[in-house]
Amino acid sequence: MRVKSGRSRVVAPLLSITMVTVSVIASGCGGNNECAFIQNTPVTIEVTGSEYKWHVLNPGRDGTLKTQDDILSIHQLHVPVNIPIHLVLHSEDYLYTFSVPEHDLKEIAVPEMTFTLDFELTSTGNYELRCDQLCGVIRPMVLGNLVAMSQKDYLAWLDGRLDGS
Amino acid sequence: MKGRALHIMIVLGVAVVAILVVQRLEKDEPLQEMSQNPDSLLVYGTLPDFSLTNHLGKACGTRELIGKTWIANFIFTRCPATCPIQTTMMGKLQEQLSSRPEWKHIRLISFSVDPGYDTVEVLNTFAGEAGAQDDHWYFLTGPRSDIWQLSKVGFKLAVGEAQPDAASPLFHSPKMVLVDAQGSIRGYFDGMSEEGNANIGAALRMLFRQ
Repeated sequence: MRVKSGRSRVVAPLLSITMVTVSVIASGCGGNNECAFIQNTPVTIEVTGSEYKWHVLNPGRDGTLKTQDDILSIHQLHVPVNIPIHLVLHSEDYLYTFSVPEHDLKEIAVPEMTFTLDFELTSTGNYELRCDQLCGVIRPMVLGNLVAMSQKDYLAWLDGRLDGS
Repeated sequence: MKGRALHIMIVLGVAVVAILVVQRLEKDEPLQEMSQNPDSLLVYGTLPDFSLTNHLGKACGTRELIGKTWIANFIFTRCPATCPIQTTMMGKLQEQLSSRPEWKHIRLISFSVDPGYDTVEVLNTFAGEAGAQDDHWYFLTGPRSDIWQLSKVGFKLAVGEAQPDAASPLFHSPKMVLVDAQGSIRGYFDGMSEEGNANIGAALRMLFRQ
């Protein structure tokens, strides 16, 4: 697994709306082609914290965010394995920590700022998305799950043929 | 014979060290919260004006803190959860920083998220028990709506009424927050660990170098 963290300041809210992801699915990889990903081309996924929930926006088959085939999930982050993942972290209200200890993934989401997290997982699995514990909240601060899927399953999930949970 | 055994042991030792070095080099780059990276102190936002009262009964807010670098946390005195640890760590931070030449420019601020209970008198007693230096570590009280708004909107940290089955009546963030002399947030840190305090120390060094 490789991992890298970074951040950038959002100059204007519209910037996030106009942000375009790098294409992840080759133009000739539609239909029944289950190996459609271009190796080493990152899948950009937006993760936004709001009221202690992660709202996750995956690009659909077109590989581009902010298009009609995007998939919005709450609490569930689906990623394909053996493909670079580029997470873009936002927050609509408070500071959140995005953390998957099993893979040493950790970054923060802060209102009016953008942080990024780059990684690549090499095995499938289901992992808790941990957040910093709040004082006065007994249960562990788990805001969802990271679902690492085979590329085949990920494509099936994109197509709605797999619930992915 | 002994010489040969020694030679084999040295060779094996070198091999083990080489393997460990290679494994270390191949290990993924450890990730930190960017707020804890002393080489890159971002500005996370600027606090709105506020005016509260400290445990000595004196006004304490934007006007009094401008020009000072300060570290904030949110606690309440009847808190059964993280607050005792937070206060202990703030006390350790006071001890850690008070020998520094910059100490005269530094303040520690503990906001009560339960100001209805945490009056000036209650906070004064609490400050004494915590070993707070009265001229450096202030415990603040005031209208609850002002303090909660400051936490949520200014510091971007959650605060609210806890669930009925919770052991604590309120929930809040246990983070420590570094604020610069212009009133801008320059870092969020773990408020309950020695590592958090060490990271604040490193961030302060960076800030005072600028």
